[in-house]
Amino acid sequence: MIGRDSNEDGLVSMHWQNPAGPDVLTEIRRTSTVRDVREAMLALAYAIEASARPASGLCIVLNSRLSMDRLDEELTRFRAIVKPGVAEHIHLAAATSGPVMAVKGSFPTQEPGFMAALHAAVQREMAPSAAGRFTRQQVKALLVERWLWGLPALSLADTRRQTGASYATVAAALDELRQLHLLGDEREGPIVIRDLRPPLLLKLADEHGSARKLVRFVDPTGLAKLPSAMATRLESLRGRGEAGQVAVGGVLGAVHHFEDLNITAAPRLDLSVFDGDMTFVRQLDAGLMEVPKGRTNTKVTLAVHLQRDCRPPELRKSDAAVAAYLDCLADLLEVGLQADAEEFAYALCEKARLSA
Amino acid sequence: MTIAAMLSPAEVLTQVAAALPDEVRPNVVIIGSLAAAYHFFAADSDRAIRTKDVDCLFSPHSKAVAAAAVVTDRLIRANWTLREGPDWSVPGTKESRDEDLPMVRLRPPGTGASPWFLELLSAPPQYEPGGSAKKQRRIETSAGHFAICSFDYLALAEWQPIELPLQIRIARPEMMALANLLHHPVISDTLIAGTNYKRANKDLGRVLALAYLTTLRDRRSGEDELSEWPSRMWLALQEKFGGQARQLAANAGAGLAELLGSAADLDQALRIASLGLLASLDVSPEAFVATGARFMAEVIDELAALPAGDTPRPPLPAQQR
Repeated sequence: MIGRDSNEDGLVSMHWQNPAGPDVLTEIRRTSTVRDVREAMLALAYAIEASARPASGLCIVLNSRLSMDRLDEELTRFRAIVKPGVAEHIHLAAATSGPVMAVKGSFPTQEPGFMAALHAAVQREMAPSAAGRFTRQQVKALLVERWLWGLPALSLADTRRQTGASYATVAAALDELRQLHLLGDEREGPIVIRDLRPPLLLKLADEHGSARKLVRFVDPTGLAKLPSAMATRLESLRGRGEAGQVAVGGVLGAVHHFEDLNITAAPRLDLSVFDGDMTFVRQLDAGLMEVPKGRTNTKVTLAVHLQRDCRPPELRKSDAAVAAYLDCLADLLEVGLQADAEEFAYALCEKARLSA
Repeated sequence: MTIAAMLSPAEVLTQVAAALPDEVRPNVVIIGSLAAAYHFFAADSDRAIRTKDVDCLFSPHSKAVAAAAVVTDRLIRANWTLREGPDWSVPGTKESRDEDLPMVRLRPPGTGASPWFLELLSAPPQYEPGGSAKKQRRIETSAGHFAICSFDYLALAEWQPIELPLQIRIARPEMMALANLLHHPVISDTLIAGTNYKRANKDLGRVLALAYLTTLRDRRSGEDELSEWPSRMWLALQEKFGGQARQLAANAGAGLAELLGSAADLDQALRIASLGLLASLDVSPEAFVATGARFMAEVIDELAALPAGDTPRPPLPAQQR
């Protein structure tokens, strides 16, 4: 059985319950810094100690610039300083993407069920949409989105849990927010964003938009359904279980968030896709064709943004079909609807200010 | 292939309707490109098509021979003339073998040669799996003996045809599309007489042209007619082909899938469609490919899935404009 297990000491990416031996707690990190690797192994050591069942820990480092020799050296050093009984249960391996995914290193078990689950978990982490998981941008997006919704401020540990980011990444994100004068100098307690003004929100949204992977589709017939009709069709697909983790953004999302927004008609449908799976596009409209990268002067019918979901988890269930404020705002900017984006940013900031 | 003159579908159909005797009009269903063109372009005088033949189907099968004889006699008396050429201009006699009889192909009267002719066809008899898809029957007229033929899948053209103010009926576009799809489960090498064009490319290209025109109309009207096609096709298949309906629904897209997989055949299909039903539109190869992909997903896949549930899915919510 596989699950995602979190505890006070950090996140574990995968918990594999072994029917015939110790469980395996796996932490997957996309990093090239030794500090993150050490931190991940330490988190695993705490998780093993806290586990109700006997467990081993495996740290997988994705597409790292650290060599296998360097990782082996780190594992040896780590085991030398951790108490016996835990040390030998910590393992470290590297995974690289390519035509064939490769995972090599030290494994607590080679049991086929575990290896299959591990490959699947690594594959998910390597999906295009997952590329931004550990970035500072993602951390900033989550914190800003929470502030826009008027949700309680998170602690640094909570932020790590919600984003899966390393301590270093969260700390760097907070430093950037401090440089923008959005945070005070305090280093402890909840991360409270100060009054965010529309121009700065637009800047943050622009940065957020640039961090996403954009896939554009055109309709060569010129007979594509209207964006609103495609959104209706998407909802129908969702009802039939034929659309995965996808949310409507852009103009339609912005208008959903603020009905009274005086905004232009949607020139295209913007979708935020969180699991990298775009197979639903054929069901949405099989006549759409992907625009080759670099081609401009194309009337885009559908824009798919492959990304991590920056909506606060407590909001995802209640309004799963609509993208985050920040995504909708980034979409407006990406389309070139500057005036509409400014109006939307103003409305968002006003709402947040009133709910503060 | 000789390029036919541009025709106004409304004018031609009005002329045909006026020429038909009142008593046989209830037995007539106009099929083919003229029926489709009337359906899509009747309200738009700027739209025209190219076609050489106007296909007139007599339905039901049991009344087809008698009705065709009445119509042939009446039109010849009204100075309609047999289509020129060695194969068509001389009627048979009672001694002629059935397979040697000419079809009824008549040109309307007028000072110049008409660019089009009327061809008479029969609705097929009750479907029998494994039998010959094409059947021919003799008709006796005052001018001599002729034949009218029927094709199995033309039974679909009889399904809920559209009544026109002209007091004749035209086949539904989706039924003509389905008949063409079923008639060509593969792209065979059979050529259209006198051309290098494959018959399958013409007929399957017609399917895409009908889908394109339906989508075009949907976008302008805000309706979603195309989404209704699969459920209507499934009902018609059950009504006309009974126990064979499931298999026909499952395999309906085979020939079209082959066409979409062959750039050369698809190119030829577009070229033929652009000489006929799409003559007044500028449809690019990319648009034709996209129309094919859309048709496969929204019609063929849906049709293939319907027998499993045995009840049509509810239509999609009305599109918002």
